[in-house]
Amino acid sequence: MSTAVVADALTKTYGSRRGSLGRPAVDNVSFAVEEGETFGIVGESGSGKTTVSRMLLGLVAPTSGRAVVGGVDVWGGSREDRRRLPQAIQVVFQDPYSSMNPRMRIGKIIAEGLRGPGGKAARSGELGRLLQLVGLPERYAELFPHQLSGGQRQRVAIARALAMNPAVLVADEPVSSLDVSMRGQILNLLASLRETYGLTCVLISHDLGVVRQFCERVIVMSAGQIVEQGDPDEIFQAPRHDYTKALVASIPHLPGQA
Amino acid sequence: MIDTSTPSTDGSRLDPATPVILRLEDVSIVVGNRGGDRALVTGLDLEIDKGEVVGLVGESGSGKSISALACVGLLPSALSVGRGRILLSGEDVTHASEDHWRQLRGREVAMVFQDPMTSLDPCFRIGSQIVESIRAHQHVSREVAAKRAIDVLGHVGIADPARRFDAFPHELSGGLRQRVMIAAALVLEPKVLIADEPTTALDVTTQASIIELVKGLCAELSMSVLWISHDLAVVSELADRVAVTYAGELVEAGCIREVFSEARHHYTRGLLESAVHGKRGEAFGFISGSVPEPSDWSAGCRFGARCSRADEQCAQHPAMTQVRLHRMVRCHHPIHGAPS
Amino acid sequence: MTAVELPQFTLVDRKRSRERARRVGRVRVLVLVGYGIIGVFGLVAQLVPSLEHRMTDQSMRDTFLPPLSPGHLLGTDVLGRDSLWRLIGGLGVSLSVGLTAAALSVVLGLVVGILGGFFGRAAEVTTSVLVDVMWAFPAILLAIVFAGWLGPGLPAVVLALALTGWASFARIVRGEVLSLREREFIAAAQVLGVPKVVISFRHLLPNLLPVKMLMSVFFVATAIVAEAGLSFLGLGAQPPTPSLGVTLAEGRDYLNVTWWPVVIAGGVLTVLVLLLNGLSDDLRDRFDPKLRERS
Repeated sequence: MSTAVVADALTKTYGSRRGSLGRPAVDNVSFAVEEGETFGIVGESGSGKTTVSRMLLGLVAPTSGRAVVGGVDVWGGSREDRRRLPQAIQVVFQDPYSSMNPRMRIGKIIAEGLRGPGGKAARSGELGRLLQLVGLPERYAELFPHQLSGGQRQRVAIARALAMNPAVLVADEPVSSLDVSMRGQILNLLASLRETYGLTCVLISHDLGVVRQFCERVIVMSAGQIVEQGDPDEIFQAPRHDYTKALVASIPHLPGQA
Repeated sequence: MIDTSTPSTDGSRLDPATPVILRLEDVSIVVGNRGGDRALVTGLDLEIDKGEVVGLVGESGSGKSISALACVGLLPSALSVGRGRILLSGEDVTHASEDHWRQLRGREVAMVFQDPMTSLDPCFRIGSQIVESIRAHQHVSREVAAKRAIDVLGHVGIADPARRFDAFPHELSGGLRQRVMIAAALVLEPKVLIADEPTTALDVTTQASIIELVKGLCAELSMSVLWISHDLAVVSELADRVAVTYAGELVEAGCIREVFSEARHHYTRGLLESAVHGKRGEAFGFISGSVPEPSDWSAGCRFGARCSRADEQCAQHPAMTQVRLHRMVRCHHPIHGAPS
Repeated sequence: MTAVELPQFTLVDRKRSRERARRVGRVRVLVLVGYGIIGVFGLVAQLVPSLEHRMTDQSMRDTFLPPLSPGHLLGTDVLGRDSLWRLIGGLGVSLSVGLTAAALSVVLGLVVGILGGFFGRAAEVTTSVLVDVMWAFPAILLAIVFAGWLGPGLPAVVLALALTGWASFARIVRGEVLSLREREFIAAAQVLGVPKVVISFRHLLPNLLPVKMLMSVFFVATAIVAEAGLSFLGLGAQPPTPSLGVTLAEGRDYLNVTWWPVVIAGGVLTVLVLLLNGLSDDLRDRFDPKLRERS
């Protein structure tokens, strides 16, 4: 089993060369994700978890450190290498409203990353397959985002990501903006797609309960640093770091729940 | 209406003879002014006694937020209360004038919103904003009002309140800002506090401290609270009773422990299954389908399209069945007993 | 509970004022369309010889005829040319200069704005400096330079206006791009591997549309006034090309003899600019609240 994602001493400090804005947003974060593994990054706002994901995706350049995804050195590699990045890693964002261009039709949105040979027929066949994969009827390709519900939009976002056939899928708070009764639909969809395609999943969330059910390994971040890592169940039942202890203790419980 | 003969087994902590602070009777909220075309909330019945914490649970489209706004007279001008009555401490305020609401707000009823950043004016120091609301209701000098403000800031757990009094909203963290909002809401000691998703935008650790704060204040001041949230776990941490809403109407209500352990309505069951997390590898709980828009509400049971137990009878709109005092469910086929 | 208790969404009840504004807006658009039609006609007329004559035919006998004289609805000017036809021609000139300068400005402003906002630090710094330099340049100075280079006339005016106007536009566009680029669908497109140029056309440009339309209407008004001013100074339209500014200049010289030319040309210009400004206000109202209002 090879390593799908390697984060090596990633650091991000915002601010100009003359002075920085206080502490680094991401401070010396290192971790590795095996192929096919489901990995979780847990943290609250300001913990740096989103910045870490953006460094892996090639959106935000680290101040120092390396990120290697699917064999591609995201920031140090050659141009040809970096062109392979979209096939290596894709993302599903949190907000199903702002993650799609409101003026584009669903079909165009999903197929946006697709290029290359095949022509229109092949592409529309592919589009149909993708829509079916995420449980949406084919006629939805003609609709606009505002005509869909939040959950349906997240399905579109998943289809868009899968269109690139990536090895790694990053899901950044994929259900936090959805109604509670809908979250399970999307999470189950991600779980089944993970099975079918052998995807390496990186789930970013503030919800330790979701991460516990979905991920095999997790890191807990606070103030830009990794404070704890390991098996989600162990961390939940026996947290070692003070921050994790406070986090676990604050989780509200339904009556009669552990 | 209130049964005084049986002891309270329904969750209300106090003597059944205590007054009802907030009551909604068959309230419907419509778009438009004259009886309106479209209803966003129908047939809402709710009662909060003195010192009680009642949770109002629902997802998007449930109408919980506009119901809350109606209780403080802040419905957007495009909406109005179509039918029913809203009573504050026995007084009918359904169609109260804005002037009358201005007197009531702060003293009888107060509201705290989800996003403290948009509720506080960023141009003014927080202390002066609290002072302003005090002086809007009482003829006291600035100094007296300032002292009262500092007191209440300390009361909500803000360290060094005299210094924070001069802070601007952007200098405070989200949790502190929400405490300021609560302080501002409480400073005139209202009888009921309405909180609309007050911790949704906060971190889990901050959320826990705000919940503790409200619990403590509620006990100390015998203040009633209507806590609105989509998060069942949060509501169960502090509410005595809960009301579950779906698609603009109440579907189940009762004592928290009972509703959450022996939910009778299928929606409540589904919601609970979605909220509870299982073991690794298990499927996540969910309710298939999605919440209908008001224009798509069925004339029968509004949850019918998503319910596994629905049959022909559900084409009739189910009425609210009263099981006991404060325990009710709106379903043709309510579930009996705890989940297996 | 005043400042502390603002509700999170306010559907402002603008029914009555909205209806009134709509009526005014409709009249305004109607009149502007009228101007537009006359302007197009005036432009075309300058190219058709038989019509062009009416604007340039002089008559030493019929100078300074007052309005409502037989054959000359608005009278004649100092050289006996029909005032009404010169007005029509002048509107044509205003329209062509205004639209051309606005179009060039918009294109230039968009390109520089998007480059500066979206294509990295080096581009941002370069375009910033460029914008600041052009911002400082007065249009008149540039017009004189171009007049010297190309010869005085409308091409010089258009060029000068376009080259000074794009700067403010670019700045606004860059601001919009900076906020747009944080939107997640832009990030999503980048992760999908879509090249930045394609993203600019596919995602940025359509979402910049409201800003474009708004600014260009406002700019057309500015350009029209600038052209009139430059023509007034003699740098713009050269005889025999009609222009509102030229009419104003001539009228000023002979104000002691007759006040019609100044009043008519000035009045038409004023009303035109007011209408255009009103239109850009309307457009802003239509596009802004949609972004601010949460339903």
